Amino acid sequence: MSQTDPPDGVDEATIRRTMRRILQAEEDKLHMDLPRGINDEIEAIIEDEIR
Amino acid sequence: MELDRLELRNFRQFYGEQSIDFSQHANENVTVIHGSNGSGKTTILNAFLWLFYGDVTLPKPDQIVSERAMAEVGASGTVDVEVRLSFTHDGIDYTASRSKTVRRNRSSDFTGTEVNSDLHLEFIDEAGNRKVRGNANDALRQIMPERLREIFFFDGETIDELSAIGGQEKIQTAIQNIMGLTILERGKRHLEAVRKRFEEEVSKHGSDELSELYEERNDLEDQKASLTEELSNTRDSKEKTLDELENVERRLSELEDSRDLQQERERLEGEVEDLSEELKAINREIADRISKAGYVPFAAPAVEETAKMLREKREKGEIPSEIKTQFVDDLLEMRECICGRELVPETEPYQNVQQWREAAGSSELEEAAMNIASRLTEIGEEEEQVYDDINELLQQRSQVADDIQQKEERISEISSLLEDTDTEDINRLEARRKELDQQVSDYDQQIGTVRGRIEDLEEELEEIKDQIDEVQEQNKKADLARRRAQMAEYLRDRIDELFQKYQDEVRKSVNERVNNIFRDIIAKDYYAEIDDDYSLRILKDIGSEETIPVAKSTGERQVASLSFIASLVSLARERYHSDEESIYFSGGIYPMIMDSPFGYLDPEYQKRVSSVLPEMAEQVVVLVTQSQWTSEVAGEMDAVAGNRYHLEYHDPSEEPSVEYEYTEIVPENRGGR
Repeated sequence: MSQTDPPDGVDEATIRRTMRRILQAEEDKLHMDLPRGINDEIEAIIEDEIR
Repeated sequence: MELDRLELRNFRQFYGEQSIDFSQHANENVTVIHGSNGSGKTTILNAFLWLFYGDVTLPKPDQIVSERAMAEVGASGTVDVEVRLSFTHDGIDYTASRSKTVRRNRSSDFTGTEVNSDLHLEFIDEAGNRKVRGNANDALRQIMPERLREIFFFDGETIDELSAIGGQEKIQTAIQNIMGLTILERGKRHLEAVRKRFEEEVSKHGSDELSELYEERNDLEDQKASLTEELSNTRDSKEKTLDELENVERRLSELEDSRDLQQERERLEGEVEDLSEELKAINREIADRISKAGYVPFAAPAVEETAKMLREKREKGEIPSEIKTQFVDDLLEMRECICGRELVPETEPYQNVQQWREAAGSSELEEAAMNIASRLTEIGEEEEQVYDDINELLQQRSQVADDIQQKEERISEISSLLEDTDTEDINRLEARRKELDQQVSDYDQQIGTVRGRIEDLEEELEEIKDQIDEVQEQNKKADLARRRAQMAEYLRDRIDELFQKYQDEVRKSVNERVNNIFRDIIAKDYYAEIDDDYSLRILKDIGSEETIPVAKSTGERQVASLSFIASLVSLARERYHSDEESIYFSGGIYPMIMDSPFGYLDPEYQKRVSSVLPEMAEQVVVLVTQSQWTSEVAGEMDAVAGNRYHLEYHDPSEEPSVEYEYTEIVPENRGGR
């Protein structure tokens, strides 16, 4: 198991969905050596999931 | 990706329009293209590179256009060059084309200057309609990642580099990309960057200020409570003093010797109170008058000056003008002066009347000037009225102040008279009355001071409350950012765990596959392995399950490299066809396009490679020299080669009728297949 814990009140479904969205964003930019804007996209995904 | 057809137009030595159809049969998945050295095999490999990535790895890389085509158009003519590929990817039919038009600058110019270029990608949608895919460059790189170009489009001359020193990075990149580890590796790296962003946000918004503000607010509230109590006590004391004062004054009114003076004093005190109110009302009226019309005296000099200017203009008759513009216009329009003379344009009388037009006044301007003059007169009159009003109010105020002073002097005198009477009781009462009166005055001052301090405290409390609200809002943001940073950190760790676990699995399965393929080809007791540093090593079995690294020949290195590529392509194909779902590794179909794969292999290895490779990939394209198309290779590949082509090179040094070299792609007759 991970050494860190998820934030209180965040369930496993949310964690899986967030991870899937992040990996999908990575896959969409996989062809780029420097995937421009990926950090902004990941930040936006987490902001959207953790409100 | 499954290749369908490659079309070349004037690409390097492939003059005119030529094409290759790739075999797509399951049991005949090999397309063989053979030709002599220099006939253009590597150019065909480079046609793929040019289409997907826009460059070539050939000598004279800028010279993309066929020399023969350039020669035919003459100086300043243009030639179109194009590579077009039809293929299927993830069940969708695509056609990609890269084209360029170049202008020939002079007869010795075979490179030309680019006039225009285009990269185009079309696909057939579910309804069967042909559509253009936006951002073709990105889309093609998604289909065939550029960092894997050496894997998918490999050159047999250099392929053994994979197993040489320095090949680790290429191997690691290939494994991580094809097996989906790159997504995980990037995911954890980017999540770390995002976690830092959220933590910066926590530092920006979070602080210990709130507890300090709460402490400050409590302190101020304590001070306010204490002052409120002090105010209440002082008011009580004042009330008691007033009661006693009233009793003393009542007693003075009752005593015969002091009655008249006391009553007079009470009357005078009542009058002083009324007059004080009157004085306040006068002061308010003065302030009101100054605030409303106070500007008038200050503006008076400018107003007077302007009024004087306008007066002078009126006196000179400039305002209002005697002649109106419209009147002059009418005369000119009617072509007749008031004297009856005819006004013909360009004549002197006409011009004389026209000059009056310039002297005539605008009616709007004149009206505005008259209005200003009238308003300035009003302001002037108002100034006198302001002075009169304020003077009268000042006189009233002076009179009231005098009255108050007289009455207060008399009140003071009464007090002295009462103190000086012969009756000891009255003396004592008056002394006490003065003392109490002073106490009331002191209490009033004290009450005023305390009230002022309470008001100040209330203002401070209001400010602290606003600050607390703001900090609480900031703390909410900090809490949210903290939760988000925690989420990013948690996801980073989970993805890292996944990466570590999956990396081991991937290395194990790639290792197993590489070794199996390698051992199918190599006859000796050798093993191939990818170690923890991603080095592709060849080991020798020395018994007791012990192995030692061995020095590798070029041929063995080539076999190891081919085994590695074949293992990746076959694992990706296996994964693509499996039902297991995974976002980071869905596998894929990749063709193996090999230029001179048998270069350094002895006949036995050639035979085995030819036997093994077609089974590893969905589609194999082999570009070989005539000399490599040995009986061993042909014997294995002939049965699985669905399509075969021969490159027919036309060499000017050998064919007198040929001025510029070119190559023809000639399909070979496969007995009706």
